Amino acid sequence: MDKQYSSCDEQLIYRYFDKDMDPEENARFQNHLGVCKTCSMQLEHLKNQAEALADRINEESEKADFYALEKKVLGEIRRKNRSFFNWKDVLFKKIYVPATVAVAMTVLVSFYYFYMPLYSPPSAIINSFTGEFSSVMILETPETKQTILWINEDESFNVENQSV
Amino acid sequence: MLRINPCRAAFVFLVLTAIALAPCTRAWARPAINIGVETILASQKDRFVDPKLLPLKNELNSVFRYTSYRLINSRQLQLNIGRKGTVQLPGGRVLTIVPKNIKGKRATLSLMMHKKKRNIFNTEIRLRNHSAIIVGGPKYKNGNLIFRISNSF
Amino acid sequence: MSNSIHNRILDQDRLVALLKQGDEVAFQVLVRRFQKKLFAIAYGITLDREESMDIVQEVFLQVYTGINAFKGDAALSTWLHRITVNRCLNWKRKWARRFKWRHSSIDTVENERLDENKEAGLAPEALYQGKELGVKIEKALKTLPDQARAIFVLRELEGLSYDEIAKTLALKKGTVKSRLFYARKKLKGLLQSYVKEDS
Repeated sequence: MDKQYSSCDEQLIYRYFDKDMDPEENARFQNHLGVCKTCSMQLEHLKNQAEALADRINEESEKADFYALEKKVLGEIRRKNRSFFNWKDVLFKKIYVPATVAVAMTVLVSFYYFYMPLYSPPSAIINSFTGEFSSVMILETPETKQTILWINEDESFNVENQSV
Repeated sequence: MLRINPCRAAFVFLVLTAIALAPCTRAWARPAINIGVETILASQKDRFVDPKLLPLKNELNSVFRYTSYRLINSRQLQLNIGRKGTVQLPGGRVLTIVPKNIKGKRATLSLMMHKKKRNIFNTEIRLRNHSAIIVGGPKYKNGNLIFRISNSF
Repeated sequence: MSNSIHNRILDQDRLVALLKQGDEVAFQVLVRRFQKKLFAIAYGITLDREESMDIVQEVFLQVYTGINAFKGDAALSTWLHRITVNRCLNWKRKWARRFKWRHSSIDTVENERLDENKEAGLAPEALYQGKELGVKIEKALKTLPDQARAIFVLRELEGLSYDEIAKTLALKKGTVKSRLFYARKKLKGLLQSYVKEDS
């Protein structure tokens, strides 16, 4: 007798039952089943188990209302189609496009009215400056951005001023 | 129905076009810049603001702490590009202005202030149309002189 | 739905192509073709009729909205099995199921079934014997881990090979074999103990 089957390996029974054997192995095991009552009974038990499970589930299937299931599922997809289509259409045509235009216009107008004035350039740009002075300050008024050149004349100019 | 005479219509159109283009042609031929020079005495000795200077007071008070602003002198010049203009200022000072060119919204002006042949300062600025530059600092009597130089073109 | 339309959509590729176009008739064919099979798988795992019906409904809706995700590299049935099993093994369902099982006894179920048969005027003893194994198997199945039960159901009910089960559940073939072996061994032991209890 083949050593492989001497202990009536359960795994082999399962593999045979699950058709997981090649033809040669399958034939050998079938021969073994012919002489081994234990393995035959095990196999029979597996078959009964599978049938019992199938019967049990069939029993439940017969109680299930598949017509209602089909109706419910088809109704749901029809409802989805309607709402999805409308939602998309409304959102795009009536909300998205006008909203984008409105936002763009608001941004442009705001930029023109608020940002541009805030960012007004100074009234005068000084290209060059030379002279006889002790110090000079270049300022800008905060509101109207008027340029201010503040010169501290050399002391020698002031001596003459006092006489005027 | 109103009947329009084509000849009259053409004539009116030409006249209107000429009027519209007149300033442009004038500027194109001889660009001139209107320059204003206001001389102001600012001091802290008293409290007085010349009514004509009220707008300037707010501007200056945002930077300085004077309590009195007196308009001493106001001159208006109309200078062509390259022509020199001079303004007599208190304390023997003389301001010389020469417009150099007009580019876009700004006119390039050369400003020179001197006193008895001594050059106080010499500057070249690009002044925006309908704007002013404030030049200040020279001591005079009990305050400081402020010159407001404006232009339009 | 007429037979001519049904025949026209018999081929899987054609069915999938129509489903991707949103063809409602094709979807109806899909539902009719697979609802019982998917219910059987769902019941084998959840052991609850109502829950199984809910799962089958969810599976079809998922298929409808996600049909474009089906690439055709596996059979449509494999894909459907996979979705069904995944829904059954969803953790929320697992917890709800265990709670339900803990709070309802199989004996109650057995007695209800006996009453149904009595009302039908059938001899209770004979019917009880015939259905005894099925009920005991169901009781024993509840003791298995969810994934082992899923593998057992796919093998015993659907007759899928180890490779097909491995593809469906994204497992290795060796893992499928070992878990199936474990499930059968446990069931064998439990069924023997139920027989001893009865005797």
